[in-house]
Amino acid sequence: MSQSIWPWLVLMTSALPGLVIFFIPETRRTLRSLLNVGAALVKLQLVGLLLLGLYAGESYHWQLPLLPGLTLSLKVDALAGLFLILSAVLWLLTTLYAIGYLEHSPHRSRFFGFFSLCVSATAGVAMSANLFTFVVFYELLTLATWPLVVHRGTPQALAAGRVYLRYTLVSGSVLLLGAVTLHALVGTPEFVPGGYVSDADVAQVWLWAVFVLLLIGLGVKAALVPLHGWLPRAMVAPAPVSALLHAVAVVKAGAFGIVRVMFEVFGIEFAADLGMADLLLGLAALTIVYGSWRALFESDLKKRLAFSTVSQVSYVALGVALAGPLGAIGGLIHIVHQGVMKITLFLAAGNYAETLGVHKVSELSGVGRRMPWTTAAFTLGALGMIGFPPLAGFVSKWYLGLGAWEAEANWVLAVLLVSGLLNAAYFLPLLYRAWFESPPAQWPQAQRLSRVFETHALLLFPPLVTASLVVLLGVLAGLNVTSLGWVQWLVKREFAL
Amino acid sequence: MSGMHLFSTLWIWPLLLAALLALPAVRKGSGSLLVIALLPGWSLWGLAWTATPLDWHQAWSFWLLGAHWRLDALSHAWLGLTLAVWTLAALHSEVMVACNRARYAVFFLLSLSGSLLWVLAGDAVSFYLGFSLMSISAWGLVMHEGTPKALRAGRWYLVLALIGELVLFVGVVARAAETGTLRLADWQALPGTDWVLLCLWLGLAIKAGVPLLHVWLPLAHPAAPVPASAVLSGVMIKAGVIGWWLLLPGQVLVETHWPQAMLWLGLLTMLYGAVFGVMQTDPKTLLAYSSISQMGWLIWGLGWVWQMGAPEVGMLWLSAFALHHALVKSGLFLSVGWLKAQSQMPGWQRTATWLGVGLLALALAGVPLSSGDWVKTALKVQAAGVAHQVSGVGLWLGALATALLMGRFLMVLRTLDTLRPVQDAPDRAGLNPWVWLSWWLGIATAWGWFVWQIQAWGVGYAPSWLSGLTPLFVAVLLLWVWHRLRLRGPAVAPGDVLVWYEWLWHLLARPLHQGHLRWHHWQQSWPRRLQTWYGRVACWFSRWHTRSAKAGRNAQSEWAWLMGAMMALVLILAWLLMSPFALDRLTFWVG
Repeated sequence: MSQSIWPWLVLMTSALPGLVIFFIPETRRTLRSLLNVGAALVKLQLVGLLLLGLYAGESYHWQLPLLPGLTLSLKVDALAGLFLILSAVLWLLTTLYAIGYLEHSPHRSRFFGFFSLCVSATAGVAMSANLFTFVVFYELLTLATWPLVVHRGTPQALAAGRVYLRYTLVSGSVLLLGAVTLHALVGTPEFVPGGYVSDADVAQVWLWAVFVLLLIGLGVKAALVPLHGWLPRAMVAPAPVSALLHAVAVVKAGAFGIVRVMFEVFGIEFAADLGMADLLLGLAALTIVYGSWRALFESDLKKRLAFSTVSQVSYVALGVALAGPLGAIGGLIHIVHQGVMKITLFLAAGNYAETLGVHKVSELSGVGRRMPWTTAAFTLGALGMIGFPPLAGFVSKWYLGLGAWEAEANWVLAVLLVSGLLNAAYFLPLLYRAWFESPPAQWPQAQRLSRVFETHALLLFPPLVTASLVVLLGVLAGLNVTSLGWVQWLVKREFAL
Repeated sequence: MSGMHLFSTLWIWPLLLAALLALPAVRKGSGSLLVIALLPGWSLWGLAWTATPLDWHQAWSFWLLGAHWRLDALSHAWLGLTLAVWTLAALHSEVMVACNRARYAVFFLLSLSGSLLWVLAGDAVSFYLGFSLMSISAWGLVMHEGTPKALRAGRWYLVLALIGELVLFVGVVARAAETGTLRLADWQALPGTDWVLLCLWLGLAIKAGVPLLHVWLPLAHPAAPVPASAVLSGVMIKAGVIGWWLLLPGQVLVETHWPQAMLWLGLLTMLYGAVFGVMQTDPKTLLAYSSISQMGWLIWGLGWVWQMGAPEVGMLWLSAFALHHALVKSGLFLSVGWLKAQSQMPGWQRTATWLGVGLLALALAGVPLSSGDWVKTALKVQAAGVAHQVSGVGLWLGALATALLMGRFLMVLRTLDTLRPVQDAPDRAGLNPWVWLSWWLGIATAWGWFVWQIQAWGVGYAPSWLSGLTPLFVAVLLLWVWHRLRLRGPAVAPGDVLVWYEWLWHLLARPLHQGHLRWHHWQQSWPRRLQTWYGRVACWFSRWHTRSAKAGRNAQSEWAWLMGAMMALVLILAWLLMSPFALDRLTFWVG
C-alpha cells in the first residue's frame, strides 16, 4: 500500500501551530490569534478535501513500522472522516470563541498551545488505524487536556484536575492492558469492518476479559456509569474547554473508541453472539437514565449540562450496542448531533457566565430579555436534546428507535421515552426561567463587552452558528451531504450492505 | 392551475412571520400579522375547489426524513375547519389580548404553522412534526396571562402534552419500523402489533380529551385568552380524533374489538363531560367540559366508521361534525370574551350578542334545522346500519347531556353578565365592529352552511322534530326544577380527577426527592471512605518508595502510587507477552 502524506498533514496542521504558540510571547495577541484561526481554517479545508476524496473512493493511509508486528498506522476512512469533520468545524468555532473569552486572562499562550495539541490528539484518535495507534493518541489526549482543565489554577480546578488524572490515567493503563492482552492473543492488525477477532482460535474467556478491559478503558472517557465521576467535576474548566471536552475531544474519543472496538475489532455480529453487545446496551441504558436523573437535581448550570452529557453520549454506545444497521446510524449520527447541540449549550452557558456572571440555574431568570440571541441558541440546543422535531436530536432518536425495533429490544424505546421526559424536565424549566420570568434588578457580575451586540461578537457568533447547525442537520437530513447521508453511506460499508 | 406549490408556503409562511417578530418595527403590528399568516392557507383552500377530484401530492425528499404532503377531499375539509377557527381567533386576538402581544403572536404563529402542517401531512413524520409543534407551542398561549391560575394550567397542559408527544413518538417509530414505510395511506391498510397501536392511540388520546386523560382541558380553557381557548377547542382537540383516523389501520380494525371499545368510550365521554360540566360555575370551564362531551360524539363516530370498515365517506360525515363543533364552540368561547368586555358595548350590541349566543347554544344542542341537528341526524341514520345496542338510547342520552350543558352555560353566563366583572375586561377593548361582525359571520356560517351542504351532498334531510326536541325539553325541565327547588349540586373543582393526580404526585415527590438526597449523600461519602483506605495504601507505598518516615497524603504520594500501579501493569504485560507458555497454561486453566 502506498504511503499517503495526508493523515500527517491533518495531524500537523494543529500540532505544529500548537508547538509554535507555546513560544509566542503573551502580549502578541494578534499573531497568536492569526496563527490559531489560520491553522483551524487550513485544517477545515484539508478535512473537506479528504472527505471529497473519500466519497470519490480514494484511500489515505500512512504507516510506520516500530517493532515486528507493531505499526504506527494512520488512515482516513469514512468513520474517521465523520469525527474529523466534526472536530475541524467545532475547533474553528471554539478557537474563535476562546479568543474572545480569554481576552484579558493570563497564560494564553499556554492555553492555546495545549488547545491545539488537544485537537491534534483528537484527530489522531480519529485516524488511528489500529488499536496500538489508538492507545497512543488516547493517552496523548489525556495529557493534552489536563493543563486545560486546571487552566485557572484555583484549588477547585486543581482538585478537579487530580480527579480527572486519576480516572483517565488508570483507565488508560487498563486500556493498555486490554490492548496488549489482545495483541498477545491475536496480534494487532488494522481495524477492519467486521472485526479481526472472530476468526482467531481463542478461548471465549480471554475475549471477554479483553472486552471488559477495553470497555473500562474507554468507558471512563465516554462517561459510562459508574465511571463518569470525573466529568461533572471537570466542568470547572473555562467554557471553551468544557465545550470542547463535552462535544468533541474527550467524551467523544471514548465513544468513538467504543464504536471502533465494537465494529472493527470484535465485529458487531460476533460481539452480539458473545453477549458483549447486551452488556454494553444495559450499561448505556442505565447511563442514559441515570445521567438525566442526576441532571434534574443539579442547581449549577454547567453541572447540569455535564450530567446531560453523561446521559447523551451514551446514545452513541446504545446505538452501537443495538447491533444492527439502523441502530448504528442512530448512534454514529449522534456523535455529530450531540457534539453540535452540546457545544451550543456550553458556549451559551459561557456567555451567561462571562457577560452577566450567571452560573446558577436560579440566576437565569429573565436572561432571555437581556441576551435574546444567546438564549435563542440555548433554546434550540435544549430542544434538540429533548428530541423535538425537526431538530438534529430528533433524527438521532428516530434511528435509535428504529434500531431498537430491528434488534427486538423494545424496552429501549421505553428508555428513550423516559430519557426524553427527564430531558424535558431539566431543560424546560431553564427555558421558562430565561424567557418568561422578569430579570433581576442587578445581575451578579455584569460586564459590558460590546457596544453593538449583547455580548462580545466573538462570544456571540459561534453559538449562533452551531445553533443553526442544530436546525440544519435536522431539517436537511434528507440531503446526501448532511450528517445523515454520510452516516448511511458509512454504515452500508460497515455492515457490507 | 395547481395549488400544489402552495403546500410548503402554507406553514413556512407563519414561521417566517414569527421570525420577523424579532424586529422591533414588526412587533408593533403583530396583530395584523396573525391574519396575514393565514393568507396562503385560504388561497390553497380556494384553489382546491377548482380541482375535481381533488388529489394533490407533493414530496420533499431533502426535508427531514423525506416529507410527503397531500390534499384530498378529507384534508380539504379539515383545512377549511382549521382556517376558519384560526382566522376567527386571529381577528379576535387583536381586541382581546392586551399584554405581551409580541410573545403571544410568536406562539400563535408557531402553533398555527403546526396546525396547518399536520392537516396536509401525507407521511407520519410530517404529522408528528406538525402535531408536536402545534401542541407544544400552544403552551405559550395557555399560560399567556401569567396569573397563578394560568401558570398551573400551563404546567399541567405541558406535562400532559409532553407525555402524549413522547408516547406518540414511540408509537410512530415502532409503527414505522414495523411497516417499513412512512406513508399514512399504507399505515391505514397494514395490520399492526397491539402495543404499537395502543401507543399511537394513547399519544393522541391525551389531546382528544378521553376521560382521565382530559384533566388539562378544564384548566387550560378558562386560563387561556379567549381566542386561544377557541383554537384549543375548535382545532386542537380534533387533532386527536383525526390523528386516530390517520395513524391507525381502520381498514384492518373491523375484525377486532377496537370499534366496539371506541363506541363505548365515546358514550362514556359524552356523559362524563356532561356530569362534571353541569357542576361548574365558570362559563369557560363549562364550555371545556362541553368540548369533552362533544368529543365523545366524535370518538363514538370514529368507532362507528371503523366498524363499517373505515369508508372515507364515513370520515367525511365525521369531519362535518367536527366542523360544526369547531365553528359553534369557538363562537361560544368568543362570546364569553364579548360579554366580559361588554361594559364598553352599546345596549343594542349587547342584545345582539346575547341573540348570537342563543343561536350558537341552540345549534350545539341540536335544535332541528340547525347544523347540530343535521350532522347528528345524519350520523344516526347512518348508524342504524350498524346494529349496535347502545346507539339509540345512548345517543338520546348524549343529546340530553349536550342540551343540559348548554342550558347550564346560559344560566352561568347570565349570572356573569349581571355581575359585570369590569376588572376582567382587556385594557384596550375599544369595540371593533368589524371583529364583532366576523363573529356573527361565524354564526351565520354555522347555521347557513348546512343548508348548502345538504344540497351539495344530496342527502335527504328531514328535520327530526320529535327526537330533536325531546332532549331539549327534558333538559329545560330538569334545569327548571333544579333552579326552582334551589338545589345545590356538588361542586367539583375544574379537572375533577386532577385532585387525585396532584395528591399522588405529592405522595411520590417526597420519597423520590429524599431517595435522591440519600443516594447523593452515599455517593459523596464513599469516595471518602475509599480514600482513607487508598490513603493508607498510598502512605505505605510512599514510605516504601522514599524510605522516608514522614509521608503524608500529598500529591507526591498519589503520583508514586500511580506510577507504581503503571509499572505493575507493565510488568504483568511483559510477562504475558514474553511467555506464550504462561498464556497457554492460563488458557488451559481458565477454559
